[in-house]
Amino acid sequence: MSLIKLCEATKTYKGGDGVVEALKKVSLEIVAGEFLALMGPSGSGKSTLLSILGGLNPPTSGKLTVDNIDVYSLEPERLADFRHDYVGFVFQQYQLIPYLTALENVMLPLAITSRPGKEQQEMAHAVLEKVGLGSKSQRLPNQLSGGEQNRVAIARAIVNQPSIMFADEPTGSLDSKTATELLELFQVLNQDGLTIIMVTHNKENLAWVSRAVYIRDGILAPTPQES
Amino acid sequence: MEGNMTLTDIAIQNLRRRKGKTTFLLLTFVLVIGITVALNTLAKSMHDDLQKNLTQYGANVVITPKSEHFTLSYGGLSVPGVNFEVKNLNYDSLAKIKNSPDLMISGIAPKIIGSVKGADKRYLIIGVDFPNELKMKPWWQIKGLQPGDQEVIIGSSIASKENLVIGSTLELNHQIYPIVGILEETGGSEDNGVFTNFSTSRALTGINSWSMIELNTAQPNKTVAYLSELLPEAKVAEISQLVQGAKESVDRFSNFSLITSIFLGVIGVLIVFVTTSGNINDRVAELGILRAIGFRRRHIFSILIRETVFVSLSGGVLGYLLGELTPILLGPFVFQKTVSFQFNPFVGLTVISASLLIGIGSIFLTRRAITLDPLEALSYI
Amino acid sequence: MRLTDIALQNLRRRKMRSALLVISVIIGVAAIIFLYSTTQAMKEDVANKLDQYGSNILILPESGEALTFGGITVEAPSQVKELDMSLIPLMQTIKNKETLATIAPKLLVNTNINGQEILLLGVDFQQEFRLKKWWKIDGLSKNQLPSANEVILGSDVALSLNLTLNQNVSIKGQDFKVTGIIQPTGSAENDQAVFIDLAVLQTLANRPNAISLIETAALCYTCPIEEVTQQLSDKLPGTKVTALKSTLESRDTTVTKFNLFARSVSLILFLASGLVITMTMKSSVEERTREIGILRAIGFRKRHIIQIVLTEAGLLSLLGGLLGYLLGMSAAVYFGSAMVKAEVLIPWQSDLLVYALSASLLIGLLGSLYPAWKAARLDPTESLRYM
Repeated sequence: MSLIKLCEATKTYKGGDGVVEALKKVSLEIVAGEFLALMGPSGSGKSTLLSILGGLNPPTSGKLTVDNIDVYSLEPERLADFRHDYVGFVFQQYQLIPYLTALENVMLPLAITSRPGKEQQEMAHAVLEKVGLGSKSQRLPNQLSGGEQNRVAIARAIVNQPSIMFADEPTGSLDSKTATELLELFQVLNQDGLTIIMVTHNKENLAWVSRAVYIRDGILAPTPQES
Repeated sequence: MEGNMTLTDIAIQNLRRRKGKTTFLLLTFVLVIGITVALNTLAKSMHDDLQKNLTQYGANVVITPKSEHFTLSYGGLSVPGVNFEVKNLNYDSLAKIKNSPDLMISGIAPKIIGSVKGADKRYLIIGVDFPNELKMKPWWQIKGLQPGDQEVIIGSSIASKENLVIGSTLELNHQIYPIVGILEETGGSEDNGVFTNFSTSRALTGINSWSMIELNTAQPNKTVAYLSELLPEAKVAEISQLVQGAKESVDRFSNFSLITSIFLGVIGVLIVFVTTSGNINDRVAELGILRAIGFRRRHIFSILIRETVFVSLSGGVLGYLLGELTPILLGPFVFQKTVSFQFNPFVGLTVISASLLIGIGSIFLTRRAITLDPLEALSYI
Repeated sequence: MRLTDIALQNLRRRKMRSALLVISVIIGVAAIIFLYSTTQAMKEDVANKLDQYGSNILILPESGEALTFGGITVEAPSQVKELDMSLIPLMQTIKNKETLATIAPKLLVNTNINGQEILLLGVDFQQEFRLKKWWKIDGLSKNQLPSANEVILGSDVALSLNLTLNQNVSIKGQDFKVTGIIQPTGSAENDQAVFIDLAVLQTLANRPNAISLIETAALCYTCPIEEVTQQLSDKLPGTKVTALKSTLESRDTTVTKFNLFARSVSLILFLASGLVITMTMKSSVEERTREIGILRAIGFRKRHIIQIVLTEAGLLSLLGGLLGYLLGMSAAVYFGSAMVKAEVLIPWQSDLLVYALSASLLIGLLGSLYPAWKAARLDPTESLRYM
């Protein structure tokens, strides 16, 4: 049975030249344990789709069910809780809080739980070790390289043991060696049971994923369409 | 920093690691509160000063002999051709006043007033004790010396009309008196007077008592009531022009300082609002990240509240101290007067809680930044 | 694309930030302008009110003063020269005639009432009441003036003659109604006199047009009293014009305090606004460290960076200074007087615009110069890391 079920989601934006339809009746089912790649050229609507799946962006019409929860029927604060409990997000520009150290950034999602401090620390340390940054936990974001900041963002996304991790172009600004290391890390996490949904436009990344979905002009396709 | 991670820690780390921004915010609070307190202290001390100056200025209670006859003079003029009966106060009145308890009298100036024949006209003789008189009447400016025995000072009018200068002599009662000083023009009846000390004026006029006693007191009402009973043979009156005038001036000053302080306060609140909300607006993106991670609005609110409470509270305390200390340090240089330190718990508490309220108020003003949709907030970069 | 264009684009695109900067300059400048012009008006208003509290100039005949001191008269001259009513229009011909706020002429005549010699003071009641604001008169309501057949008594006269309100009293063969009794003032001159309409007394005493002296209240905020006294002396023949030092000193004490306080307030406000503007400029430059790094990375010189930053700061400060002046000045002109209950009009003062613009420009440039220099000096790769 599917973990995530998106039913006929449409998203329209009011742009400068009238209404823009970013997604057109997109339906998608994702089973727990999948490592899914969302592929498509820029402007295809893949980031919109990712944010809708992640509980960040209510669709204009359609329905999202995650673990049998009708996500967008939740009132805003329950929606925040949903993001906290089910979802980990790795943003395109990492989005670390500049004045918090790597460790503190990772501990952020735990700050609003009732876990004791010691446990918070241990959990954060553990995930930092897992992403290979155990020795740099006290650095501030501007003291880390891009790849390292990316790993801190990943650690922050998974520290609360969510069921699903979303990543928006995680390899976009990395060199191929760092990108490979990152995808290896994703694979390890996926094997531990984490469902991963990744937006990418790089075909080389397809070697690592269990399934790929193509999107073009707001419509899903099982295979890439040639232009 | 090792330790657990709570909302408080997030707030503290923000303040700690963004030293520039925190200092800026803190300084705003310190300055606004400090200035308000300093101005308040300054206004109070100047108010007291003015009150003291004005109440000590001039004679506000006058004791004259009771007379069945009315005065027929006004403004130094008199209806011509009338004979005047001159009465005096009892000689012991002065001692009685000096022995009166608790009237807060700051100056006693008894006078002997009479007229004496000169070479070709009569002169007004005023016997005074100059040190006391000058304390009460700062507008009396003497050129030359204060008179000793057998010496006189003349009013400016006499000097100019009769071409007299310091060193000239004046014939009074067929005796020659040297002029040791000239009282500069006051515009009052002093300009036509000849001033001597008590013993000389007694010898000249033959008056062995006091013609009138002028007092300066901080409590004119009470003094008049008390002295009227103590000296039944005298007429004791409060000079309402002086008393009311002083009161009015002091009231106007209070009014003035209050209005300017309120106005400065309003500007201060505006400045704090602008800086605090500017600070929060700068952080929209960062707050968006927290929302995306699953922080509730409440969580973000409490982070901001913690930061603001810390900044506004410490800003309030520091500002209060700054405001109290500045006038003390600057007083002697800027206003030529010392301001004493007064710890005023009421003022302190008021400004510190006001500071807190303004800080928290400005968070509510920036609700938009907090309630913003996370996706929108993230695109703010 | 010039450096100025970069500065302009930045201001245009970052509307929020630019607006915030301009607002802080506006608040600072408007506050100072408003407070400065309002306190000036308030000071003038207070000075005027103090000047109109009692007389400060006395106009007497050249000679014939009595030997009198503090209400005690020891000798009266055998004859006194008279002044006449023509002096009053003559007073209005002096150069600073606008300073003469109150002109209260008086005629002194003695009479006998019930066997007592009493001084009759013929006065212009309207002017007299304006002058003697401390009088509390029983029987007269506020702004009510006695009519031609009514008199006002000093408290001692009423007491001694056993006269009460609304009784009739015969003065020089004519009946007058007692319409008011002045509460004790402490001055024998006021407490022991009968106040009567000047024209009536002139007719009654058969001395048409005669007056004995003129008490005057001059506003000496803009024109020193010595000046007014001199001008009056020159115009009024046969008189002795003197300024009353005793009232002037106490007025000066009060006005000096007002001045001192107003000046401290302006100074405090100036320092505070200067600091706020400096800090806002500083933080806005610091926020752009990253952007400055990019410019440095593509080959901009320090000089270029500083030029861009200063152009922006200068434009914002000038705009803020101008708007602040307009806001502060119009608030002062339209609401200032009413707000502080002053009876003085606040004029548009264009010289303040020059001060406002130059001060805000100077502070804005100084406030952003140091952080701009600091940011420009940073290693580009380092500033790119900033966030």
